[in-house]
Amino acid sequence: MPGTWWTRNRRYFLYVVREFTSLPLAIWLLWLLYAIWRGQTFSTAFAIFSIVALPFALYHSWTFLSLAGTILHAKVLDRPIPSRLIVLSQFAIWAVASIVIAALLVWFAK
Amino acid sequence: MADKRITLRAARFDPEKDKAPRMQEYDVPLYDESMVVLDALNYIKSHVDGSLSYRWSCRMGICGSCGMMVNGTPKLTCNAFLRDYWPRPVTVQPLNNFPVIRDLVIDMDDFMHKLKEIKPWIIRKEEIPLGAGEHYQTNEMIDDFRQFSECINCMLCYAACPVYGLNNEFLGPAATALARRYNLDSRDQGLKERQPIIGASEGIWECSFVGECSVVCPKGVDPAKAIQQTKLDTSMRFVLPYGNRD
Repeated sequence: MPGTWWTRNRRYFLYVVREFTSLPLAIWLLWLLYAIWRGQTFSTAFAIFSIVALPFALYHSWTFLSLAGTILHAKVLDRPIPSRLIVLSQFAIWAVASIVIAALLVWFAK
Repeated sequence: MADKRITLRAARFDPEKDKAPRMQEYDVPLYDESMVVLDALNYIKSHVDGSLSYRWSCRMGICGSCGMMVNGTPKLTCNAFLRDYWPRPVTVQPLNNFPVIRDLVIDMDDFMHKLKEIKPWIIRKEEIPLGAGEHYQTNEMIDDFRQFSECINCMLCYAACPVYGLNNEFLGPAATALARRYNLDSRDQGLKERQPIIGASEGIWECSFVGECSVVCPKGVDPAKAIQQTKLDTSMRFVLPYGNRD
């Protein structure tokens, strides 16, 4: 199989992008843990990299949550929950969790 | 329609003469709006070049024999209408990811071996005698596995799967979908017999959820869903205290 298989169609390409976006996230997390471990304050470089990593994080999260509808299967009163509802609930939980975490960060910063 | 013609490029490979597949062009008349790629291949075989080799049988999307790469996409050639490609040429090649025996004919032994391994039939610990009557199933029970039972073993999903292309030890989409079809069947008790195959590292865990298998399936089966849900079920069986139930 040629190494360029992922350029054969758009879906292969988006799959590779999806997998690749985990790399900046992993680097960002390792950097964060390293900074915490060393007791460092966050540098300008880390702030810039955080901004760069944000779109990757958003894309990765979006694809992850969108696929949840395919993976999760649950029944209520013997009827399967529609995939769309599962995906929407995942996004709703994501939004609520983001708001709560943001509020906590703002509160601690004060 | 009578004057229309289309160019069909077919991959040719004779293992006794050719080192690698080569492309050969044919000029085919489009005599009907309903003509499919398989009709064009049959026209070539009957009127132009009788040596062209390919598999086909039912011509109605049931047997799963006529799967080929049509302009780079795995398709049943009996379900690929030439009107959708005209006036551009159509390129027909053997299914990706399989060894080629001749022209458009692939060697399907690997898939047949995997299919047999997952035991795609109802397994009972103790057979219930026919005199005991039917196995009752509700519509909801049948809905659990119905879509996976639509698989016709056409292998388009294997041709679309880059994971299988990179590592043909991977159990693959159709075999896993069929394993799930029987594991979800309320009449079946064979989960433990199939689990060593589907739960192996080259089974479900090899899949990285590209999802192309489900896109190309001509019968609307969602093998990607079967694999991901089997991963979840296998994990839950491992984690939960009552997980090793039958």
